[in-house]
Amino acid sequence: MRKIVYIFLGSLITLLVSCNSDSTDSANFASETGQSGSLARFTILDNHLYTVDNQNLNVFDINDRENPVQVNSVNVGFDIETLFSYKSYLYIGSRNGMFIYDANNFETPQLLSSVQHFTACDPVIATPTHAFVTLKGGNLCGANLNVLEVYDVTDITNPILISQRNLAGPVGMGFYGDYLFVCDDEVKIFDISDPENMNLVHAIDTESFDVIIQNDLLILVGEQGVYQYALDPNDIQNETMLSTISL
Amino acid sequence: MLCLSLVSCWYSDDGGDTISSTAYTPTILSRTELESSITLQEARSITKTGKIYVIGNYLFVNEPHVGFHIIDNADPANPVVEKFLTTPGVTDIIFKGESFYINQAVDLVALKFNDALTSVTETKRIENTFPQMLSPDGFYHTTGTDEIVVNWTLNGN
Repeated sequence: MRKIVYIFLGSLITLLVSCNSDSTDSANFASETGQSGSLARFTILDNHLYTVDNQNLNVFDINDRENPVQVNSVNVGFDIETLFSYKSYLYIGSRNGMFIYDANNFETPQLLSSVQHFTACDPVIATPTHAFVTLKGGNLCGANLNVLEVYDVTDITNPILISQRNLAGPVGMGFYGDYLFVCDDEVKIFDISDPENMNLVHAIDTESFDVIIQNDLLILVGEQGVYQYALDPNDIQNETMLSTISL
Repeated sequence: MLCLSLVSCWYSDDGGDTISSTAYTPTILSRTELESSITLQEARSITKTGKIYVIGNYLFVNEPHVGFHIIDNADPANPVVEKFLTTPGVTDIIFKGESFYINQAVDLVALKFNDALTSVTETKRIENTFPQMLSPDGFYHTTGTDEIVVNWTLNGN
């Protein structure tokens, strides 16, 4: 009976996800808002496009969308890897640390704070109060240490490391309500309602390096394919696999 | 297209006179080739995965430094790989309205699809705004004035 209920719930979620869609025949993106994975190096605030390259944070005015104009380039540091925005804050992950800029003045982002960590590849994502950083070591990424770090950013000018835990080789991350999904040797799901005391509550046995979570849809990309799951908002341990695109 | 004669090298900081070289070979396009390389093509199978981006019912999956697989994801239980956007040198994409922006090696390019998703139009290109792509093992290739590195492939592959 329990299984039948799960199948029913799964189908319902699938149905709901499917019904969200507009016409599938048009690629008119005008009214849509896109979403990146956590490894992105591009983000948009209002009518400004921000990009990071190895060393710089670049700002483009896209008020005229078809005609971007570069208005600034700010030297950040070395080995910059990822860019994440929350409100007017830009979180920049590099192999040596995390930088937080305020882009309240769109064209001239100001450095608010930075934290240094051991050399490792590291995306960063953030909530209003906390920043989550994964550090993947080994190979070209530096020391063979693999850690998930949590910073309290309530005072954005002074991030404080409040928690860290060892993982296998963490990369991409995504939020789902009070949960943090981390692409590790499997997808590890942490309850972050108390970020200082994160609890591992579930894992999905899929190899992936980045993730996008949209409503209850989980999209994972790994070296062997693209995987999609329907998440259950009432039971974090009850995801339903929807599809796999294998390489 | 592959420029084997120009050996990438650097002098390591510690050794002083040690020359080490990369295990990768750069894929090089001329500027003219780069600027005429963006095309919307029929779907192809994914051979290597990169970053992902979702917009509306579509999921974009990067084939690193080659292009984007465009997947109709209106039904996530049955995603359909619909098109391939060839954009040598690309790793990132982001949309604002109907326009979207990509990095194409050293350039930032603004593009638009038509509604039927059968063609792509370049509306702006900002040249040489990003640094040259280093090899995966961290080497710089000494390029000529008309050479742009769009990818690196492991030697022997």
